[in-house]
Amino acid sequence: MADKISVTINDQAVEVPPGTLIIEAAKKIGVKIPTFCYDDRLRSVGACRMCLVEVEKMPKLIASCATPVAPNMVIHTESDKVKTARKGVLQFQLINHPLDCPTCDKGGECPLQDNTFLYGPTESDYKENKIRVMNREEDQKFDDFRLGPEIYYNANRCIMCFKCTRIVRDLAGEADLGVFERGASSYIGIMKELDFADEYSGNTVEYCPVGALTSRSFRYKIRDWLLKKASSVCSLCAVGCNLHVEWSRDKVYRHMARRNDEIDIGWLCDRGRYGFDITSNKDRIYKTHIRRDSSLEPCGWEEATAVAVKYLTEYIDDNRGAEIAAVGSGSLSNEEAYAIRRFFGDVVRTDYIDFQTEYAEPLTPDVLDLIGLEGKISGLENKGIYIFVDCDPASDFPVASLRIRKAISKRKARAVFITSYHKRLGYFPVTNIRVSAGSEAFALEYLHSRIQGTDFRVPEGLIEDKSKLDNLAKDIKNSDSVHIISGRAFFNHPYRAALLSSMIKLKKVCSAGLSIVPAQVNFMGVTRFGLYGSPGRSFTDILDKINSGSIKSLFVFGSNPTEEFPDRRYVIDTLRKLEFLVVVSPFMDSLTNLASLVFPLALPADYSGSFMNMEGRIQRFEAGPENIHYEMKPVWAILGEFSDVMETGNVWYHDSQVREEIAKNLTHYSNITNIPQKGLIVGLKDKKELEIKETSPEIPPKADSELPYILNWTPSVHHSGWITQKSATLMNIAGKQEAWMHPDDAAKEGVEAGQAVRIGNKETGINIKVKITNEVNKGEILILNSFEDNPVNRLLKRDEKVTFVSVGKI
Amino acid sequence: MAEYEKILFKNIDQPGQDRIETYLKNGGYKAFEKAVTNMTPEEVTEEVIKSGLRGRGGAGFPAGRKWSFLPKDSDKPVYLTVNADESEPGTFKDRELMEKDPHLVIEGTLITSYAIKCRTAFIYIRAEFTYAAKQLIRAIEEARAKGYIGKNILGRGIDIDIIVHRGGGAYICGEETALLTSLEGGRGHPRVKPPFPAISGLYGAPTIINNVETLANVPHIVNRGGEWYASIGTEKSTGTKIFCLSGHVNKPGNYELPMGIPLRELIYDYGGGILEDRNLKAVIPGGSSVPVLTADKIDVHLDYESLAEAGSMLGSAGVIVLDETVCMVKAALNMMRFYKHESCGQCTPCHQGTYWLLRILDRIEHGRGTMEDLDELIHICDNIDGNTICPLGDAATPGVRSTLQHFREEYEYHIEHKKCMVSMAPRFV
Repeated sequence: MADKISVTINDQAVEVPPGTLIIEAAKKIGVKIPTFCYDDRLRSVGACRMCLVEVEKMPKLIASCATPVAPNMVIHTESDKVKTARKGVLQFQLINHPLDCPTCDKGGECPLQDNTFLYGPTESDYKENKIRVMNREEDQKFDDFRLGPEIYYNANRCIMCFKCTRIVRDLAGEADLGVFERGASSYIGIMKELDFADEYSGNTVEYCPVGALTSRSFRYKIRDWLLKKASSVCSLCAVGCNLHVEWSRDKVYRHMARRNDEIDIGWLCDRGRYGFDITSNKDRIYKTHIRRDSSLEPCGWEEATAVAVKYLTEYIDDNRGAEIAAVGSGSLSNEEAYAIRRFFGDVVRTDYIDFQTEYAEPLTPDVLDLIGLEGKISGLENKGIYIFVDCDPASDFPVASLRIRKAISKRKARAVFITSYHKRLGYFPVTNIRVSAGSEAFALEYLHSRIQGTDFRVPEGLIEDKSKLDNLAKDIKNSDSVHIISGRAFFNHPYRAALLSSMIKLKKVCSAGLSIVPAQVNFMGVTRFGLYGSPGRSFTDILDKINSGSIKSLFVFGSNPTEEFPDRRYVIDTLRKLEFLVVVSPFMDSLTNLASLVFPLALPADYSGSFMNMEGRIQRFEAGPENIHYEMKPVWAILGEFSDVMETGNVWYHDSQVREEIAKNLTHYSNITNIPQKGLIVGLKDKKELEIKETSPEIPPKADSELPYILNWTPSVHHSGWITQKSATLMNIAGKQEAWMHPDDAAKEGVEAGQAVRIGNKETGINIKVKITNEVNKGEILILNSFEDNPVNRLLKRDEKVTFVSVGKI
Repeated sequence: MAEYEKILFKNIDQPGQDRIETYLKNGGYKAFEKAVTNMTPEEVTEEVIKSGLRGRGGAGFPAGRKWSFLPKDSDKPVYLTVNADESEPGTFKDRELMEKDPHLVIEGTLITSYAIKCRTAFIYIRAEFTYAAKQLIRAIEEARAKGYIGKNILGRGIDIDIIVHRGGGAYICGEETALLTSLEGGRGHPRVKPPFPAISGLYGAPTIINNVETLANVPHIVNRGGEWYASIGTEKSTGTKIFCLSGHVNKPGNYELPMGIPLRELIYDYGGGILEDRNLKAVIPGGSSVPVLTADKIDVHLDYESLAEAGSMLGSAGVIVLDETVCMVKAALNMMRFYKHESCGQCTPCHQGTYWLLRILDRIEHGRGTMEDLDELIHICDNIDGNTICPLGDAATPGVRSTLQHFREEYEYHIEHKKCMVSMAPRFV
């Protein structure tokens, strides 16, 4: 077949590769063909018939969105025949479409409006009544039907383009939405009592060409043309999807996709899309607070700065800077991380700077180099075997996992989960190899031995079905591309060293890719720009030093150790011992309760900066709402003010100033001052040459009769940590906490599905509803989601690798 | 009344013909044995091409040529799908074949499977045909027990399996690509062609879709040769055809007659004339999807070419006879109600167009129409025709168009007098 096919479109010749659709060929030479149902990322259906074009020597008009070019085609997109057909189609679209544009959320950004203005008839010949589907349920506005907690459907406006069903079925691989009835009566619906709330449901609203699907959080609030758009980057996972923060005055109204073909291809997950209202949470702090007579009271910025600076100056003057520690967070921007290092390293002169508030055991420098994606996000579409080790791609890197789903649906790739509980990628076929909690390393070692042909004995009962691993070993031998991926759970894995060692062993034997995807958006950035505390100076060391009295004061920037650290009581008890605790936080919460001084922190929508995502791509994000009355600032601005008062010279007024300084001081990042639209790729260390100490797997301890269950917990796609709890929209979608129990365990305890139980140990416990499922192992309990008022880390102990709990009725 | 040799219906009324013993006694499965033992698949296809057998589902595409479109070098399996989703109003030939002579259908399916090297054939049968489906399933089990279906058939190293799949009750699933989508487990939506099913059909594999009656002809062609078959009927429309005669005739039913017999012979000789000796008003010669013929076309010959010349189509040969008591507006409305109900909802012109047409026809029928509505009807038909994925849109308009063309005065009478021209019904309010 020829490399290029030449066709003529409106008397203009164009050469395109074979298989190109006519609509794409036309786009190439700037000829716009109107369409409703076409999306270059979805399977073409040719349903709306808006894109009909005339091709010479063809008897009928053909749908340009579903027909590939053929050699020497002569195509007319603006002939009279085409124009008449378009008018006809638009008239058909409109006969049953309500004229409620003034109250419709899509008004102003509606393809149906636009196309009608451009191509439609000025008047309709339709004289009959329009079909109106009314919702007779109470508390429903207009004719909208509830599809899920967030998404509502108006059947009258729907023009049946099937984009939503294609997004749900082909992209996410879910079966939530379907078409019901036939002909003019067809509508989009859900199965009764099954909510439409999959990981990517919000995309259906964004790409709906009319206002048929609307978001509960946005509808009837504001018009599209009143919104301003800021080019931003999502801050809720390490993928770094590009998005538009759409805002007006001081409020963010929604997040919309900002297509970057290298990363998100224009999709957003629901966490990123509906997490927009974190910025307007009711617990948000807009002012500085100071502790007077044991209660926090608002105070002026100058007063707070003066108190902090006075304290710092005393220590600096006494040369006691090392008694001060600073803790950042993986959600801070590169600039903020750098500012913390500069200020506390150079001015305060302390080495105790870290961000690892989430890990019971800090990462060693050699592990640090392994974190991140090997290859590019776009490479996840490649063929091969993806082995997920204790990793839930749908929650750990939702939008990047769409590429793996696509590869599976095209039969290029297969996904294997080595996991202690059942995981899925929509309804796409995956293999779940179940192991008992914490024993993933045994499965990997066994797999390694199968590939090598050596002998490795796995203790009884740790792996559910070894034959699956035998088959996998065979497949790996026949496959030239293997990718081992672990995620958030890796960082707090009870046997992290053994797991890592077995992953690297497997990587070497099948020359696989190895990726460990961090949970925080800017893990990659903050570790490279100064927030990583090497062994002896990490957060757990800081806690030890606070307990021993050698650290007197702690500055916390943007993290919340009380919610994040896997031992709540220990953290709170330790922080209480501090002489001076400064919390720079966006919210009033469990940590600010302990603080002496609170500064309001800006969230990514409020300021500009840059993040580095899991593939090492530095991307800039812009500030959104104009918060002129509020006092929240990014960390570099707060520290800059300290410096200003202390006259130390590290004063920054704009994020670009920080980047200029980074470029000057860190040669590896000298081009950070100029970040292109698609992001700036900085080379991560080649993982091929990395060596790690070999550690053999350990058998997890057995439960006793008093505390008979192993506790596991996981965040979900809609709720990934304490920050997502600040989003009312996300909490509306996923605001439930569940304890998953095996049916046998439930029978033993006499617990029924939906019953609330107390899960805990002698000292403490949390009350939680039970879901009975065989998707968890016998003898294990999986808690889905952790909430501030029912936190899982209350049950955890920093020095216990495995947590045992009992189940009690209440 | 001339007597013609019956081919498909030769044994149809023999008691026990639906059992394999009787079928074998009447020479059943001989053609399959002959094909498998004495002929190569290519020879079978060649014979069918020679016979000139055209698809009996409605489009009339030559069956043998369709088979020859299969890619020669594909590494995918080839599927045969038997379209038994007979839902065209006025058509009921496949049902009788499947109910009374299921083995003939199965033998045709087996020979075709052999000819196109298919190992798994599907019979997609209309949901309402419960008895026919039961008959087929039982017949398949009988044939399997005799070794005609299964592995290593007749010791020739051929494996063929036949699976009966019952539809979900949608007219659209008679359209070949919608049938495939439905068979795959999806909602019965037609697909955009190209790619044609012969290249990428069921599960993306090359697929041949044939009508039940088409396949029932195949054993006879193999038995008696393509030339014999081509000698029946007209030059371009060969063989016999089962005409489904219905409407205002004395003896409605299935009549197997050679292609090209005059319509008059079918209605007056075989059908016994119009009920109560009333006058003929119109005939729909090929199921509800083809244009109406007026009574003066009574001498038209029933074959693909002659009917096209007369301004209609043979379609599925569902001959619906309308006598003088029929209101053509009401007839058009009734047909449109069917298409509006059966439009799958995929393309805009079809699902909105049929709805709109129905609303206007309904208004005219009930005396609330205007003269402009008549032009609007044609205008809507123009916007539907040719602009849809599948032929359902194109099938919905001929009823309206042809009644408007030939019986415009009835429409006008409805509008002007607010009552029906033919029936004695009182004036509409």
